[in-house]
Amino acid sequence: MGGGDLVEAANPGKAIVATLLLSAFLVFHGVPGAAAVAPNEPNNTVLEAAGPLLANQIYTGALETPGDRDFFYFYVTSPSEAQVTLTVSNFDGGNGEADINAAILDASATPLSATAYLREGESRTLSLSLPAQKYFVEVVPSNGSGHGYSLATGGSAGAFGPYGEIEGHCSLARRKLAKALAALNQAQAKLQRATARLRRSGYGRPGARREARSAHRKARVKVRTVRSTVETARQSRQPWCSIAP
Amino acid sequence: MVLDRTVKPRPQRRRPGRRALLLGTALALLVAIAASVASAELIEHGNLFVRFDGGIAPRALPRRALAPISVRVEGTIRVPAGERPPALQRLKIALNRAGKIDTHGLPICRPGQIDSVDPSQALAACGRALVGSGGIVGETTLPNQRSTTVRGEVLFFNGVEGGSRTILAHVFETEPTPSTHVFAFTIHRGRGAYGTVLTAEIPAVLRHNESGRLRSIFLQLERRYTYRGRKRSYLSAACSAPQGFDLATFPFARASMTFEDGRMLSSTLVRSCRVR
Repeated sequence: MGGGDLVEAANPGKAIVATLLLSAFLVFHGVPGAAAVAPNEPNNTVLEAAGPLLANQIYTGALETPGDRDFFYFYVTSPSEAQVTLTVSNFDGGNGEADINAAILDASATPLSATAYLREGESRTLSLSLPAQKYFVEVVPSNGSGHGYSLATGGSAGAFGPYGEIEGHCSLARRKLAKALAALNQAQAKLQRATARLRRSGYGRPGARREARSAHRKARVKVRTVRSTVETARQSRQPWCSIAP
Repeated sequence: MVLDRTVKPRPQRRRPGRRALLLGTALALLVAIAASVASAELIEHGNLFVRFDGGIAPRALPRRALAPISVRVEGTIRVPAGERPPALQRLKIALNRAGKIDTHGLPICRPGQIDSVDPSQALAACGRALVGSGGIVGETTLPNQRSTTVRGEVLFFNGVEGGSRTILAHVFETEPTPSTHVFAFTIHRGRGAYGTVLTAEIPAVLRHNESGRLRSIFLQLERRYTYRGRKRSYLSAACSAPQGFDLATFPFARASMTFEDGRMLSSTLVRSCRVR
């Protein structure tokens, strides 16, 4: 069980010092109830992951026991792939040798990038290009325990974005789909009328057949075009509407 | 048919100063009438709404001589979101009393010729008796599935039942499975302004079948044919506007829908014609 403190620092420099001091104090001195005050605990599984991590912030945590695991989550919110950079720092302070491992996992918890055996005082950066989706960060001790660590987020636009952006994309795609479906309904209604007209045109005034055929052809083309718009609109919901909050 | 008209007051000579005002008022009235006669009628009974629409084409007709026309009528049933409309049981369309339906020399289609065939086959069997076409729109209500719109084709044929003229409706749906239903509109003479009344009992299979509830129906009756060298039309009308006027308004049709819960919604469609 670790003290994974999720701190969004407006002033990273000051915040990191303050958080470090607090974390180190709690971890090293084992103040009773320290774990209970950590705002992100429990975050020992993917289901309990803390977050979302936002861009250009520094988050701190601690791994109190050898079996402790800390999970965080974040989103990539740009339509095209975003460059995600995550700098993991081991602050030392554990029992004996206290190295940590860190990894970025995809939505199904499959590791995409990892770094292992971060020694005390060492920082390493994971950098990779990721499409829009929900991702996890896993931090575990490789040996020892009591490690304090920090995660510094960065990257291009869309990396570590807020969920609201994903909701926005999803809602826009849903509106597009609803509009396309309404247009399809309208086009099908027109085709239905054009078909009815074509049926009776053979027995109407001269020239009616030719006009009815032309109208029917246009209505069919319109339905086909709108169907493809509906399909595009359906696809545009992905991945936005399948990303869980 | 010679359409009943609403007679407008004969214009009288006025002083020149008031003429402009009178002309302006008349123009405004004409615009208002044109706007009112062109719109669909929406009526409601409790949570049930029905929108009727229709008209004749062409709108420009001779003043006295009968000319071929086509008649279009449609009704759409609506209820508030999340509610199911009651099933439509009976549809009645009363057309202007001076209307003329001419079936002289038009072949007769028997239900047995079209009761289990698709529209192309129905036309092959009874095409010469065709008097119109249209469509129905329904909504599926299959359990655990999102409701979807299904559309069906309707062909109307000249028919006879018990010695009386009818219009046979051949309904073909492709979804959820291809199916054909045939039912008849009886034609009888009415009273008052509406002399020709078409009535159809909607078959239970169309009201409650697996494809769900009927949401709208539209039909257009129109047929021109030649019999013994003479051109004829299933429906004919003239625009009997008063002398000196080129425009007449008339109660074109009165449509009503009766639902299985006993509610009946009716509306009069007032339309206009122009003397050509």
